Amino acid sequence: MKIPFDWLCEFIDYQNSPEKLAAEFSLKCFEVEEIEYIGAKITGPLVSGKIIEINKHPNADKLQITKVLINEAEPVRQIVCGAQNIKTGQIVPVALPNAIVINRSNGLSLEIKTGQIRGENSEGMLCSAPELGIEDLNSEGIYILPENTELGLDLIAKLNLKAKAVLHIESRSNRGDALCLQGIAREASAALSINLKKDFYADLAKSFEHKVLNSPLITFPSEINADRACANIKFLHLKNIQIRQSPSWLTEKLKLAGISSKNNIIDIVNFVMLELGQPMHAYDAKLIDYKAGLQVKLAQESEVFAGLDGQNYNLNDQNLIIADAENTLALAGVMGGANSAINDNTTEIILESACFEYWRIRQNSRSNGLISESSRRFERGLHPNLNAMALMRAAQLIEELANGKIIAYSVAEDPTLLKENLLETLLELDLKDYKKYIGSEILAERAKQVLEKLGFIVLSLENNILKVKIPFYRLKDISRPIDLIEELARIEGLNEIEPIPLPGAEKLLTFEPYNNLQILKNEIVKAGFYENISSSFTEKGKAIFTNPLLANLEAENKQIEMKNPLSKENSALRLSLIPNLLKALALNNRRDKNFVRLFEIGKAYKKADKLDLTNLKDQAASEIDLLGLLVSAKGKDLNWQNKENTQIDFYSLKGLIESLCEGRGQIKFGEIDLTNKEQNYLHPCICGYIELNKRQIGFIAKIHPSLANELEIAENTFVAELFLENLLKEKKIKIKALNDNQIIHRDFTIDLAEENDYQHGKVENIINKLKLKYMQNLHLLSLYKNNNSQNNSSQQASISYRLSFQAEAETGQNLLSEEINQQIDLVKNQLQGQLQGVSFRNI
Amino acid sequence: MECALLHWALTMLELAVQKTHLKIKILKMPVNDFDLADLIKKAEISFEQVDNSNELEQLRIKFLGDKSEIKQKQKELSQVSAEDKPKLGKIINTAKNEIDSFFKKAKHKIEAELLNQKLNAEKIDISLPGLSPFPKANLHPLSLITKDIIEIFKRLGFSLLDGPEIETEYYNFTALNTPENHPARDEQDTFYTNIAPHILLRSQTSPVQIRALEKYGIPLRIMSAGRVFRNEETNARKLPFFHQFEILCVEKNINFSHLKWTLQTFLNQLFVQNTSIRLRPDFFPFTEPSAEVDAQCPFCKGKGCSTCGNRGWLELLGCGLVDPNVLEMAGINSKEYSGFAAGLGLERFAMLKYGLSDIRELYAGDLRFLSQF
Repeated sequence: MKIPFDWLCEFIDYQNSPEKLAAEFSLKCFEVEEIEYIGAKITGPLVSGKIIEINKHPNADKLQITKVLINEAEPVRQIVCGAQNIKTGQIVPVALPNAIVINRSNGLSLEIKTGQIRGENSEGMLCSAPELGIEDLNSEGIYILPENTELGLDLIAKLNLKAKAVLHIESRSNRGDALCLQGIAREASAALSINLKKDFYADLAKSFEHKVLNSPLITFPSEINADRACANIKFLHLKNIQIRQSPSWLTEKLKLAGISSKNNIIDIVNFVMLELGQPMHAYDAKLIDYKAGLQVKLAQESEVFAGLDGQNYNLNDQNLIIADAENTLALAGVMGGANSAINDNTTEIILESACFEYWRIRQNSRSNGLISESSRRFERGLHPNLNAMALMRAAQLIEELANGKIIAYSVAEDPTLLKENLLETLLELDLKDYKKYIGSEILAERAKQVLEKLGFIVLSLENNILKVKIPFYRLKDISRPIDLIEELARIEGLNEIEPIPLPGAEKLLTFEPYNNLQILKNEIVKAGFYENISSSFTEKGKAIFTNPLLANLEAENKQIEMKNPLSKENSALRLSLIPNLLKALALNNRRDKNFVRLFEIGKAYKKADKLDLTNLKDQAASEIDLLGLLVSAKGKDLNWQNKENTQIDFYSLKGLIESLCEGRGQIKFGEIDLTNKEQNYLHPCICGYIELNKRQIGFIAKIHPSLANELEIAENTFVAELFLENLLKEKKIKIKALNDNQIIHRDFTIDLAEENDYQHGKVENIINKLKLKYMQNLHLLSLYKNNNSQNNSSQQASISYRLSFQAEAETGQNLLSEEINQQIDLVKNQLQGQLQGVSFRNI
Repeated sequence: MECALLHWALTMLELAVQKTHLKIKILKMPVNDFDLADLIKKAEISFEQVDNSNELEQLRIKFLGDKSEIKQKQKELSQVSAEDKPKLGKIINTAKNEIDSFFKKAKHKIEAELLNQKLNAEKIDISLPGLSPFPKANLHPLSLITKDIIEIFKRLGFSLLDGPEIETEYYNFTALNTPENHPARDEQDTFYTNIAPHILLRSQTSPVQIRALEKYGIPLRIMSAGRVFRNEETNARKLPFFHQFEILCVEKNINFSHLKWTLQTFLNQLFVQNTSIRLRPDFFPFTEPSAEVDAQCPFCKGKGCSTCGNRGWLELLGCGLVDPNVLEMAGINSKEYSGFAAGLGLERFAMLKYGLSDIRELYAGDLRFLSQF
């Protein structure tokens, strides 16, 4: 709902900004969805001045030259003015140079400057109401201030010309009490620990009884003829009504709250609803037959009701209505009827204020597709005590603004429903429970203070136990001690609560490496690799295999040996996973398993690089987590269709490694020169390192034929070993915008005179270095090598590539052939310049 | 067919009743000797008998083509007076549509037959072996059982921690309430390394408990799984290395009932609901009181079988309340905090779960074994 800030401040003792209030309010009460400023920003100097002289402008018929006195100390100012309503002696608003007012022609800002108007000096401007953002019905000409206005007064403060803040506050379905200024003010007073300046509920509580029930007023009949529909309903009959426009203070407030002004009676009804939260309805008394009795009853099926809004509604027999003996007067709680509406000729009114059952009004509203300010409030549930207060407040205002006098009243009640609604709730709150539920403590005195600010009546406080009476307007949402705990906790501030870890959960360490390891293992298994787990032990000094990236650990005396070995074969710790994988391969080859894929995840062990043995708690070894991979084929694994079941070779192993690294960074393979290394168990020409994000993370190689021979394993055996930690990092996923632009492929073939000059990586590098703007992909289509090396004149290799081009997604445009041709030319030039004996086809 | 005739008859009847004068005119028209009903009957029989597309085309030309009788009659319509033309045209059109529907029916029948023949020719032997695009493979049984156990304790709020396999005497023994010269050190047949006299291969995963208490403090709820080493001769039940799983919980007000509930919950989840357990007193240097936990054999439900050696109970794990000395060594006030720990051998659980009798098969890398999981 829209709460005008200035109006709210009439209820609370608050001097700070709307923003500060909104910030606290959002955290402790309801969300302030927006602070809307209505009206232009006007800045001074804007003061009151007295016109002491008026002369005709010599060069313009419609202009006058005034002399204005701001204060006795300053010289009189000359100001040119176009308005005709001014007279000497009047006190008027004067905008001085640098002031900003509203340009009445377009509503924008207008800065006042000293200048000449048709050749005459003008040191300021006399302002009209629209230029000050004031609503004034006599807005022709300059805004004339009262005669007794002091000169030189700051009018921005005096006339309250600042833009008006309106708080848009969330309405909660369980808080009907907060759909009014009084309710919001009460919340604010608790949230900000400030005092309420107005408490209508307290002031008005007794007045209905005093002024009406105990007065010699006459009554007229009324009754409730529907079951569980209305706890009570009250009517006041007022006469001497003078229908007119409401004063500006009232229309202004309504306008800011989002309700347009109609006439004084309707405005007062709406105003009281905004103030107190009780919707009411006013009937023209002369248009209804109240003397025979008013009643609350169910409508007839298919009855047509003509609403105030000019629409006809087909009611059903569950709709609740207010009726006199003849006619339906109102759809209860939602809208009055056209036939009894207040009009310009109204002189007597019947004012209705009721406590309907919330669900009845909800049905009324939903079945007729009609949601009104009134129904929104009734739906959330109102209390039977509230309607009398609202009637009294309205009667008071009607007397003030419309001359109305109360002459009669009527009250009808549903005793059962009324009794239920009037049931008091008394709660006992043990503050131990606050600690139990919230985790932090609250001082008893503070708890009492907060509850009282929220309108709860604290009957007693002993031994940290509060006896609390729930005020009538909170009976709908507060019924248990835990509800009070919630009230206390939110006003104390949910953000002030110290976080306390869940028991045992405080040290909940990440499962990320574990989870990623499971994913990695599953990926490898899906690629057809069985998991192997093997012993950590190996024979001292006889490591047939060490990882070429881990230097020569044996030679450097980094191998860890057992002082009390079980056997010679188990005398030291392993330096690589590959030997055990080869051992397993040998066993399987002996058992006629010719196509083997195995992996193992495990550790290699070595002495720590910097060994400091002074602290007996320090670790003295490095344990390196590794992933070992092995593929091996003896012959071809052909199926009954005479096709290979799955490929087992260098490139299939490389492909798996690429897919494991995908999303983890830039992967590259490079040759390892084994010349000066001890890894003579690897094929010297089929051996490479694996690089991820410019760090070497492993190697891939074919087993040396002589090792294969020695171990009696298939010669076609490839192994790889990677540092595991690089594969356990979370994959980085970055979504690219889907690109609908046409993809254009260009195929070309390179013919090389010397096969040895060709290396795919070289071609890839040359092309990638060009950083072609539109190139999406470089794809190797085919590779043909001519084995006839005797004939040097013949072409030795033909390699076909496909380049794919696409314009960036944002452009939404397809590429032109010239744009691609330019890029292809670049490729061609670079390749010809950097490769020997190149010729092109299809380019 | 009956429908078509009926329709025809009705059309004629309608015309006869409504416009008696037309009937007279029809008889006078050039079409009055043309027996439409007879033509329809002939067409129907012909189209019903056709069984190949060539003949069908011949029939289409004969009955519906440009030179067909019906087309002839349509052409003759031009000689009819403007007044009768619409009615007569309608009659001929109805007959033509009738014949056309016989044609379409026959065409559809022949096409369906052709398609059927094509599909029959495509028949394959679905009993031939499938060719999976993914070669078959699986994880190691130890990985599987470890994952099962970790997942259960993960749900109970235990964090997973790792520790080094190459340990110091301090963490492997001293901090675990096993001072030097304590006979418990001998029981574990520890491997010592050539790095330094106090650097050894851990004989249990319990050092992780101490490292975690030191690093993360209390409260703490952790689990750890990993390789441990014992200097024991290899046989069907023993290897110089094996794998342990261990839990530790140190919080305020932790007592033995919590331990029992945790183990019961764990075994219920891993085996079957309401797995019966029994505790027998035992000794571990780092727990007090200590116990050995047996579960009723899930395979024979306690009746006795080869897995449980006819005892009906399986010895599964060791456990106890963390010894106050262990807490104090890690700098924790043992009056304020208490905790429990439990440990088990993963190989034992894998062997139980998969009915394995020789532990060595787990680590030989033999695909005949590895491919069974």
